Amino acid sequence: MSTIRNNDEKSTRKSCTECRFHDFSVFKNCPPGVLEDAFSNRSMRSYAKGDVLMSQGDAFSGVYCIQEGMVKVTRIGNKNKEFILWFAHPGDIIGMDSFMSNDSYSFSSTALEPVSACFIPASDFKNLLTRDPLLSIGLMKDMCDKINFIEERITSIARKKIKEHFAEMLISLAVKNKKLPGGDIPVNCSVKDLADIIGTTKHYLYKILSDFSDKKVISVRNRKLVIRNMDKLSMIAVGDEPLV
Amino acid sequence: MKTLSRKPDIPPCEACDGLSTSIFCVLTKPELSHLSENKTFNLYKKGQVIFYEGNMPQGIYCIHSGKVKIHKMGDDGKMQIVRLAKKNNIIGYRALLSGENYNATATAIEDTLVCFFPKNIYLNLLAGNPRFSMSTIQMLSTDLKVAEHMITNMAQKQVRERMAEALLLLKEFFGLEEDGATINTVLTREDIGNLAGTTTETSIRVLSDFNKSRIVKLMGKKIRILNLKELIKIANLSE
Repeated sequence: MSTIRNNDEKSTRKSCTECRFHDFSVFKNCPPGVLEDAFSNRSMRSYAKGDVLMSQGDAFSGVYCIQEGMVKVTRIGNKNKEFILWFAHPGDIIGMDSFMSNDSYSFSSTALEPVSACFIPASDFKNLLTRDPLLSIGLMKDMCDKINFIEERITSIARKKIKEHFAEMLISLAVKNKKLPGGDIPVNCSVKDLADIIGTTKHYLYKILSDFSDKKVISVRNRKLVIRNMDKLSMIAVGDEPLV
Repeated sequence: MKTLSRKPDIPPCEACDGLSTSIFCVLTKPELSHLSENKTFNLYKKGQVIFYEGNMPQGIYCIHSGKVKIHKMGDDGKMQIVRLAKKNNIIGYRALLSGENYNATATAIEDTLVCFFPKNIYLNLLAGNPRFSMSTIQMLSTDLKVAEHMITNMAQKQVRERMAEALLLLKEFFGLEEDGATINTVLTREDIGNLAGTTTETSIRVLSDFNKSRIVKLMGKKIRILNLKELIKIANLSE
């Protein structure tokens, strides 16, 4: 299903150490030169909105470092319904945690906007991992963070009102987005995706959205969702209902 | 379930009968004896807390015998069980790896013997033995999958489905007693509710409903599965 455009721009790519995400990534402890050397087969890939980077069940072929755009990481759950586990922003790496299962990705990921990602083939990644213990420490930290995030969500989804959990997720979705002139924060997500974050129906989601816009927390313009009042949204997320 | 009245002796790690199934099986003999020399062990009575959410981790725990629930506190003070652990499972290692405080509490659900290994011993092993760090990554990878599976269920399934799945999880994890039908653990109704993500009231109601339709038989705290097929059907297992 996935269409790969401008594949293999090997000549124009930057080195990993120069990458603007290097200092924040799991590779930050690797000395200069090591990454370039190990990841010699990496390639830049571009995806249009809606393109699939990998599907749940696909054989593990490598990891993706997101450079531009946002990606949803999903899992097929009950009755083949999609559920959104988390959103990958530029600087995030997808698929690292699948290398251990050795066979397949346990999730799908789909571009929500035009995305460019640096693809590191499985063999390159595994080679470095076995050579460099520092990388495995970085990988472990990354996995811990993911498990913590998901366990936090389990508790929140099971113990909070849906509305509160949705507010929480909306914040995590928009927190890295640039503010529009006027201070609003855009959320680039379809209604179906928003419903898939909390595992609810579109119908129920519209109820929540209209409640939020009555409270002037969000607004929908030209089918685009913007967050108008981050403070109020955070209050909803912690169960402190603001007055209209 | 055994009730332990005093601390029994624990074998050194090299001689532990669970070694082959624990993550320590990739360690060399000298590493194992080093580990063994530095360990302490403790008996936790049923209901006793092994570590608290928010505390600073000092080391990792390996369960020698018994059962443990790992749970988080929700905003409303209600508890959500995020993981169960049994013999040979390592608990509390994630906080060490990520350098944060514990993000969940571990409580013994029956009398449990636990070995404790100090922080630096564990971290040194990780840095020194690539095979050991691989098996730690393997363990993380399993944890991550369990968590991903759990949240998808929590979000998409109805309470009845989740309760059925919680029972199946208990059966899978703790096994059955000699009669081949009774789940080998005694969790309270509240705990089963906390695992399925529902209230104690609902947990009691759904369980007695299962009881009425002869899917399970409730015998005090023990639960005997009468109709496994039906239970699987209700749980709506996708995988």
